[in-house]
Order: sequence, then C-alpha cells, then structure tokens
Amino acid sequence: MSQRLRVEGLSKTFHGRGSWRTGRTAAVHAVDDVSLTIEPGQTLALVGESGCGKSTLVRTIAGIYQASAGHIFVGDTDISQRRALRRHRRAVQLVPQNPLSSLNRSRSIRHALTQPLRVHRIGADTAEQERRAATLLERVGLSADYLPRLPVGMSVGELQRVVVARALAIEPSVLLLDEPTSSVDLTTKARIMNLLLDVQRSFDLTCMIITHEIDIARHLSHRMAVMYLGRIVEYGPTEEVFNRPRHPYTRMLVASASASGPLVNADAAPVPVGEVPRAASQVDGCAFRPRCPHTADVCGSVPLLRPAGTSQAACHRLDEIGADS
Amino acid sequence: MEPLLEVDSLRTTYRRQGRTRTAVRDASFVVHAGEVVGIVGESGSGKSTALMSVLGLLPPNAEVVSGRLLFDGVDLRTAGEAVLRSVRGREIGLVPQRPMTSLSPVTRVRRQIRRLLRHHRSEDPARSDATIADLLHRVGLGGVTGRLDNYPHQFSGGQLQRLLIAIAAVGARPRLLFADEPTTTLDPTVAAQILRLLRDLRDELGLAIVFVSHDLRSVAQLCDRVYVMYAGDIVEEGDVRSIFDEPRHPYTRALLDSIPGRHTPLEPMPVLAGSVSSLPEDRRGCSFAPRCAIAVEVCHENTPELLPAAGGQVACHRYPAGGGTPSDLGEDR
Repeated sequence: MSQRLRVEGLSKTFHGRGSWRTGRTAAVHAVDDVSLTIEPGQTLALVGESGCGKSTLVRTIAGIYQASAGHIFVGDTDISQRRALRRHRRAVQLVPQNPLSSLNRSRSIRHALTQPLRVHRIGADTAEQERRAATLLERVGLSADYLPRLPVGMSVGELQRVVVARALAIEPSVLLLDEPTSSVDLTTKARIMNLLLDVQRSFDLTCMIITHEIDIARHLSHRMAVMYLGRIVEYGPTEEVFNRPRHPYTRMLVASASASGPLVNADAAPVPVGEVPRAASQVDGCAFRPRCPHTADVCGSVPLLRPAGTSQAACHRLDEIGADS
Repeated sequence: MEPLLEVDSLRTTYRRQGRTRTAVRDASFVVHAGEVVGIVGESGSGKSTALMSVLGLLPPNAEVVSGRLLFDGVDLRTAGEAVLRSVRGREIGLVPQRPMTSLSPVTRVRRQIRRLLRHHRSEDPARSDATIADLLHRVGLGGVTGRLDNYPHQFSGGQLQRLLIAIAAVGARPRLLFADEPTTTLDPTVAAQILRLLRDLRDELGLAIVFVSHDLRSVAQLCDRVYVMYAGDIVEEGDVRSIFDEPRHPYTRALLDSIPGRHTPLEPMPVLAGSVSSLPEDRRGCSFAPRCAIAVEVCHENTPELLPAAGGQVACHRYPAGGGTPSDLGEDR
C-alpha cells in the first residue's frame, strides 16, 4: 500500500569542526525549512546541482541523519522522532547513489537481499527469506541464479537492480532514489528508467528521485521540486515546471538541458552565468541573487514559495519577469 | 584542402591478464583546420583511446598495432618521442576529463601555469604574470587573478576547467585541441558555460577541436561534424545536422532514441537489447549485429565498410534499405 509522504519545515544543519585558534564553529544549513508532499503512488523529482542539499534532504527523510527541525509523515504517522527509527526505516527506504560501493564486495547477493529481512525479522526461517530474495530478483529482471554471485564482475545495470531489490525487501511504502542513473551509459539509462517505472507501479510505491539530469526528472516524475542552496525554489507539476519555468534558476536549468525541440540549436539557448555556490556560503536574502539577471533591491530579503500558475516559486520578481523564458 | 589531422586505419589493443582486446579497430577520421569534430560513443567504445593513441599517451599495457597518424603531414606513430614531445601541448592541446586531478595538488596555481608557459612558449618568467592575467581574461576568469597563489583545491571544478582550457587552448597556442569529456564532472549550468567557451575560442583563435563525449546534447550544441563509435568501430560520420536529424546507422538511432525528452513521460522507453561487453574478440561481421533489430545474415558474416552516404558515411549493410524511424528499433522491454 502506498502512502502519502509529507515533509514539514524540515531543516538539517551541520556544525563543522571549529577553528583551532578561535574555537568558532561554522554552521552549514544544508537543508533549510523544506516542506513537500508526495501523493500516494506518485513520484517527485528533486532537481538541483551539487551542493544544493538534495542528498542531505533524502538522507534525512530516510532516517540516516536526524532532522534539526521539522517533521516527516508517512501517511498520518510522524516518523521523525528518533525512538520511531525502526518504524521509520520500515516505511522509507533509500537506494544509494553508487550501487557497487553500497554493497559488501565480499558477500553474496543472497546476503545483501536477506540481511534486511533478518534485521527486521521478516520471514519465518532462512529458507523463506531466501525464497523472498529469489522472488525479488525476478521482480527486478534478474534471476535466482544471481543469489550466490558477488557484486564484483556484475555490470552497473545489474548492480542497480540488486540495490533496488534490496530496498524493496522489507516492503517500504516510500522509496527514495539518489541519482539512480548517474553512473551508467546512455543506453543502460533507458533500461533503469523503465525498471523504476515498472517497480513503482507493481509495488505501488510513493517515490522521490534525486537527479541533476532534468530530462530524466521529466520522464519519471509527476511533480518536480527545484532546490538551490538548501531551499526549494520551485515546486509544481512536472510538465508545468518544465514548460513554464518561473524561477530564474529553473529557467537556467531547463535551458541548459532543453529536452524539447531540436537538439542542434547552438545559438538559441541562453548561457547560464556564475558558479554553483558552496553549501557553506551564506548569502543574505535570496540565495540566487549573485547569479540572477533580474535582481532588484527587494531581493535582499529571503523569498518564500508562493503560487504561480499551478506551481509555486520562491522569487520576489515573478510578476516582473513573466512566465516565459 | 589537406586535413590538419588524418588518422588512417588506427588499431589499438590492450593486454590484460594475458589476453588482448582491441579497443580501436581500423578507425579512420580526419580533422580540418578550424573545425569542431565530435566523437560520440558509450564507455568502452574506444573514443578516448583513439585520442590518446594520436598523442602517444597510452598506458603501458596498450599498443598502437597499425595505422597512420598524420598530423600536418608527419606520421606521429613513427616520428619518435622527440617529435611527439614538441607536438604534445604545443601543437595539440589536451583538456582532460577531470580538472581536479590534472593539476598538482601541492603546488600553487601560479607556479603551475608559469611552468607550462615556459615549456610551451619559452616565456620569460618576468613577463609571465601579464601573460597569465591576459589568459585568464580570455576564458572568463578575470576575477581570480588575485587568487593565483592559492592551491587547486581552493578553486571550483568549473574554474579549474576554465584554467586548464586557458593553458591548453590559449597559452600554448596549439592548432588542435583534444577535449576528452571536459564537462562530465561539472554541473549542468557550468557545463553549458564551458561549451560556450570552447565555441568562442574556436571562433576567435581558429582552433580545431576534437570533442569526445557520450553526452549527445553537448555534441549537438558544439560540433560541426560527428563520428559515432561502437565497440572500437566508427559506424557513422556526418555533419551534425544529418547525424541528429537523419541518423542512418541503427546504433546512432538507438543512441538518439535513449534521450528521455523525446518520449512520453511516465511510459516505458525503447531499450536497446543486449550489451556490448559480450562481443568476442575474433568476431566476424558487424559489431552491432547481435543487438541490431534489422540485422540479416550478411551482417553476421561480413564486416561492413564505412561507405559514403548522403551527407556523410555509414558502415551498415542495411543502408539505405534499413531506413526507418528511430522507434522501429529495439523494442525490448
């Protein structure tokens, strides 16, 4: 049964080791007051560049990091309390970014798939756990022949299927995927995308997919959230965000990877300006201000998400800069 | 017009655990002065190996078995190390894939740039600071001239890539630039800036560029002419529009078909069956035949030659008979 995932005012702050001389510590607001809802059985794509906090956000939702503030609800249950950790992990599973480094290279695929069952005490005995592991492998397009194999020597596409199967082993209602297609070749990407679409439908999952490839986000998601320096700057139905990007940063992203229209249009696309900022950098007011072509005095204060068409965008100057890029 | 670089029937092999694998099999390509040539293929297709063969920068277990590598009329394969040293950097610049690992992490940036300028241009150290400032301005790094006494890790990936392009393309004033997946480790908005920079440098300096990438979108935006590689073979060549608008080889079509933006969202994508890794070393016939939806008997028997086709060349027995729309192909699961 898929359930709604609701994140409310979620923040995650890391405290760096202080300077040995002054003792001052630097706080990094990796995720800053993020609220999101994913309807049951739907997919949200979280898009952003490196250091924007998207991995921290899913890791916090997955219970790997403890939230500094805010709540995470699966259905009506608040799972963000630390004492609910076991329940939290049953409900929400994360497929990590690099499949090979997330598997134990000296243990078999059988071990990788039955360990979550042992930890969560699912299945009457070892034989049943193994039967479940074999079924899972078949569900992700591999066969039970893979059970005794080691991760070494398997292709990235096969490993990706194994880690998806492992995440599904304890029957979570929410699946989080961190850059599922970043380490594979173009033609393998299509296969992994088909696997994710298939798994989501047949297991009835609520999904959240992190990616920096905006055309993959578009293909796999119902809604899209764009993140910049710890905050959501645009949030709405995927086609709306893609076809009518509102926030200047979303426009830059969509333009740099424009999937619609002809591929060969070298001079048509506007070239983005500026560098991707570091997470630790503190900007007063709108974080995008240093790179934004539309800044004005009003951008000195932090913009909040507000409705724009059927999506929401966090920009003071939405009305001035219009809906088309 | 004489091409600037003419690679003729290049064959490069790797030895690994007593076995020999052919990474590039009899590939031929040319680059004319001032032209941006793209080489597209997936990992293992031999595209980087082909470039490194030209520069004589292969790892010790790799060997150029046959072929001619004519740069400006001189065969770099037989010319010897002294000639290669004078060509590398000075005549043919290289922009590497990972900017972070291409500079020494323990030497200040200013010193590394000076050293390269001295080597490639016999630059007088007393004058080099002015040259460096000029270089940085050319690649849009005017803002970092005050930070040259920093170490590489204090710069962002995009800044380092600009810096390396400044050294390779502007500082040494080569006639040809090899860019080996220069944008893969960069964020999309920064990658777009680097592509524009390469294009601008071509226009300003008349530089020829070979751009190796698996990212079709970047190739479409930057290149004039494109070669498509599959399993060590060049399977198609053509100007950028004909490759992207009227692909002729089934593999090129499959590649273009794997771009998600061209399909209905939330529906399964067409998938190319099989994998490239299962190809036997002593294969007969077309390398792509085992995965090709329109392969016939002759495809498994004879290796197709790269033959002229409208707007380019294609190595396919089924051309032009196999013409069709991309979505006719490889509907696997």
